[in-house]
Amino acid sequence: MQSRGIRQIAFSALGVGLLVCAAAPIWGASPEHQERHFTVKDHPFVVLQNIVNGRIEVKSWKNSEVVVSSTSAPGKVGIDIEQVGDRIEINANSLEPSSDPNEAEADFQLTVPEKTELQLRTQTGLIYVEQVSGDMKLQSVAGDVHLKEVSGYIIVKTTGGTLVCTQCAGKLEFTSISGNAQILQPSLTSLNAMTTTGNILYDGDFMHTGMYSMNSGRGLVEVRFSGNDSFDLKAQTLLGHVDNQAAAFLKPDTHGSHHSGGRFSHALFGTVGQGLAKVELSSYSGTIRILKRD
Amino acid sequence: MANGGLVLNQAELAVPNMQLAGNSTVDASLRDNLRTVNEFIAECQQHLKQHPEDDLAREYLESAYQQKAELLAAMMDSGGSEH
Repeated sequence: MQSRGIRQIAFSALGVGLLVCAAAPIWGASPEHQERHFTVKDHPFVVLQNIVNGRIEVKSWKNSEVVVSSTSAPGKVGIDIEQVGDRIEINANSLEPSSDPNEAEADFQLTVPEKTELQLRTQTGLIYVEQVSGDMKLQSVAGDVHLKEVSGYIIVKTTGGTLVCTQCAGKLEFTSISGNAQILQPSLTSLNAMTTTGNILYDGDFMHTGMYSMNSGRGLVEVRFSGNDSFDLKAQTLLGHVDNQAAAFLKPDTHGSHHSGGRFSHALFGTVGQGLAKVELSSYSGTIRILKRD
Repeated sequence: MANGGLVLNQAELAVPNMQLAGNSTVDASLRDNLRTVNEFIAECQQHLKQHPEDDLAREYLESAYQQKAELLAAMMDSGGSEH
């Protein structure tokens, strides 16, 4: 009798749940939330292709488990998740191409082990990654990419989105057409940043033997270095100008090699400290600014 | 490099009438950035006509072609995914 009662309650609860699920698309207001857990053995590789709009947030924890939480408009977005060994692949697609595309939105929150490789792609919406160590490729059309305390071989490609990389380590490649890049307090051994019209700001130390290349077609390239830094500098602009606010710290070429900036460009060569790292800055028609941090 | 530019221009002809990502924000961003990169390419080409031996301008032009190629590929992918 008691077990029959429990079954009835369970059945009623299921019925209410189904009713709620069925009614949700009609209401069109309450977002659909789902959470799935995947146990992994070693360093996972997580691929997320968000073909619709939405934010992707990735944080790490100590557990050998990947948690995928998503929030999406009910009935508008299809989310497929597949695990093959330590590879977890997530695809979000619009279910109704003819409906208002702005409704096709899915936000993701991933919780991953600290050592995880990532491949994330979205159209609009922020990509945010914090405290993850591993190679990563992050792509966005109009959304920004914010990275905090990440390390590895990091590739960021945006069309118009801005990169803010705070306390990043390893190697970083950034390409964009109109997006800006801010690289703050980094521990990078290699940097290659290229934007057509965006600005680039590098505020931090240069690692010894590091190679740093920052290029902007029309934007500002600004480097703020510290008094303890050691690097050779080559700054070159074709139609813009070089704003050297650190003349007191830049020694002329200490390595004796002959430099040529080309007949058509304004160029500045110099050395800070022993010149252990190599820094190359260029802009087609924008300004290059070099200054020492206080 | 000039041939590369012609190929890209031909590829671009398919884009104007294409419905792209089906999202106004993304479509506007893709089209705005295509315009931006085209303007920059024209600026570099104009400079190189007058100073063909300018290596820095040539590097920027090559880089802009590369970006345009990637952008057109992304636009065609977006358009293709809707149809």
